[in-house]
Amino acid sequence: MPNVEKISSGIEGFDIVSMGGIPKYRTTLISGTPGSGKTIFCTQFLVNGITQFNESGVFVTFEESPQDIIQNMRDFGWDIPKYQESGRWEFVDVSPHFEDNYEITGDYDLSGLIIRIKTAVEKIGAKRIVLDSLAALFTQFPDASLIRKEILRLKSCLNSLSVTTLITSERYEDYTLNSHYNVIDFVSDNMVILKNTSFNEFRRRTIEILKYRGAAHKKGQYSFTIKDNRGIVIISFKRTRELVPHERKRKPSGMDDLDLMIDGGFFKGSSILISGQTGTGKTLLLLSMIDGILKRGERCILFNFEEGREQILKKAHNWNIDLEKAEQDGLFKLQCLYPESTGIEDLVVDIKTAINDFSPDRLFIDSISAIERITTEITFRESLINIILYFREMNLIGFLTSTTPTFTSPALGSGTHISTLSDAIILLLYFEREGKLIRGMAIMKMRDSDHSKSFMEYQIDDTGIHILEPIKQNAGIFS
Amino acid sequence: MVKFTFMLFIAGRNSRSLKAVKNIKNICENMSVDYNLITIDLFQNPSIAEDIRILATPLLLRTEPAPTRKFIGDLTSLENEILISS
Repeated sequence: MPNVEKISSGIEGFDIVSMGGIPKYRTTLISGTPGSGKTIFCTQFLVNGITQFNESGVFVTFEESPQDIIQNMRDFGWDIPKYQESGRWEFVDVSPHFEDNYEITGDYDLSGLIIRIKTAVEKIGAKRIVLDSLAALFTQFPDASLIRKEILRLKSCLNSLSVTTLITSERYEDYTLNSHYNVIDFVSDNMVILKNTSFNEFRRRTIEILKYRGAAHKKGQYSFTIKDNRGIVIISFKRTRELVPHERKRKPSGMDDLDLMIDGGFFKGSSILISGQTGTGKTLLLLSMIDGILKRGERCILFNFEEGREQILKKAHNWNIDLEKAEQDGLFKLQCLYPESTGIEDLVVDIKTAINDFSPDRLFIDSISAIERITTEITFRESLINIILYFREMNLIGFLTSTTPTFTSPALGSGTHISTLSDAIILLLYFEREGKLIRGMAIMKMRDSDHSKSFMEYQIDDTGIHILEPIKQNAGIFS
Repeated sequence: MVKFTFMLFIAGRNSRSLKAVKNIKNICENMSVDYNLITIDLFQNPSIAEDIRILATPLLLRTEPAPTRKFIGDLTSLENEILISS
C-alpha cells in the first residue's frame, strides 16, 4: 500500500503522533464533543500554514460567525484580520443569519456553496481548508440524502483543487458503542478524535488518530493541553527501546562526599530519584548539590511544588547558599508552582518550556509527590516518563524528590513503580541502632546490576549535610 | 399595476435551471403580471455567490415589491398566491 504523503500541522506534538501531520490533498475528520477543541485545532492548522509554511487557508464556517471566531482565537495570539488583509486567510460565511428565510419549491442542489468555496480557494491560492462544522448543513436543509450527495460533490471538487481539508464532526458523547456513526463520518477514512473527559474530578484532554487511510500513524490516546498564546500542545514522547544514557560522561554531584559513593558522579542524560520521608533532608540534599554545581559554573533550574519562593530562599540562606545571587548571575532559576491550580499537562509543558528557554545543565523537581496528588496513576506515570525522556533528549541531569511511603512494597519489582523509570535512586532512611535513630543514605543504581554499593550514615547540622561512615549492619530500617 | 422584479440565480444551464426559468415565466404569464426577470449564472459570476451568500441553487429572489422573498429550488411547487402576495 502506497504511503500517503502528509503535510505538517505545525501543532506541537501532533506531527510526532501522526508521523508527519495531516494526509496531503485529502480530507480528514476532526471529531469530538462540543468544547473538545476541534475549532481550535483547525484554526491552528490554518494559522500555522500561514505563519510557518507560507500556505494560505480558507475557513468555511457553518455555525459560528467569522466575527466570533476571530474574537475567540485572539487569546491564542492569532491575528486573523491581519492574515485576511494580507490575502492569506479567507472566510466563507455559511453561518445562520436572521434574514435567511426561504421556501423550498422543488429540486435544488448546493452549487452555490461549492462555487463559493472554490472561488475562495482560487482567490488566495489556498492549500489548506477547514469546514467547521459541516453537519450543520443537515439542520439547514431537510433532505438528508441530497445533502450527503452534495457533500460528496464538494469533496470531489476539493480534491481537484489540490487542497488539504479538515472537516469537524460533532460527537455527542465520548464513550458510545456507536462511536463510528456520526452524520458526517461517511465523508472520510481519515479520522482524528478529540476527547475532553472528567475522571474523579480530573480533567483529561486526549487526541487520537483513529485511522489514516493508506498512511502510518501512532496508535492510542495522547494527552494535550490548550495554552494561551500557543493553542493546542500535545504531550507525546518518543519511546526509545534502550533506556541507556547516550553519553557515558560522569558529572560530579556537587557534594564531594556524595561523589565517593557514586563512582565520581552522575551520567549526563540520567534521572535520579531522591526518596525519603519528610524530615530526612531531601530538600537540603538538593540545595547542597545545587550549591556545589553553581560554584562549578553549571546552570540549573529548581522546580518547587511544596513551598513558596521566600521559604526556599530563606532555607538556602540558612545553609549559606545564596540562590538570589545565582539568579542574578543567570546561573539559577527558581520556579515555585502550585500543581493544584494548574493541570498536570500544563505542568509538563511548563517544565519543558523552562528547559528550552533557560538551557540548564541540571534540573531539580521537589517533589513529584505533589504532582502525584493531582492526577490519576496512569497520567502521573505517563507524565513522568515524558519528563524523564525529555531529560535524556536534552542531555540534562534531572533530580526528582519523592516521599515514597513504602519503598519495600510489592510493587517494587513489578516494573510499574516509579523507581524503575529512573537511572539511580538515592534513598534517605531512618535507622535504629542501639536504641537511637540515625540517618542512612543508600545509592541504588537501577541501570547496571550493581546495586547498593554502600549504606552510609549521614548527619545534618548547622553547616549542612555530611556523609559519614558506612553502616555495617542493616539491623532495622525504621520507616 | 404592481411591477415585479425577480432575480434568478442558477449554476449553469442544465435541466433544473431551465425548468426554474420556465416555471417562473409560466406563473407570471398566467397571472398576467408585469414582471422583470434577471437570470444570473453563478458559473459566469462566481463572486456574486459570496456577496449574496448563496448556498443552494436555483435561488429566486423577489426584490420588488418589498420585502424581498427567497425561494430555493426549480419552482415546481411554487404557488401563485405565495409568489404574488407580499
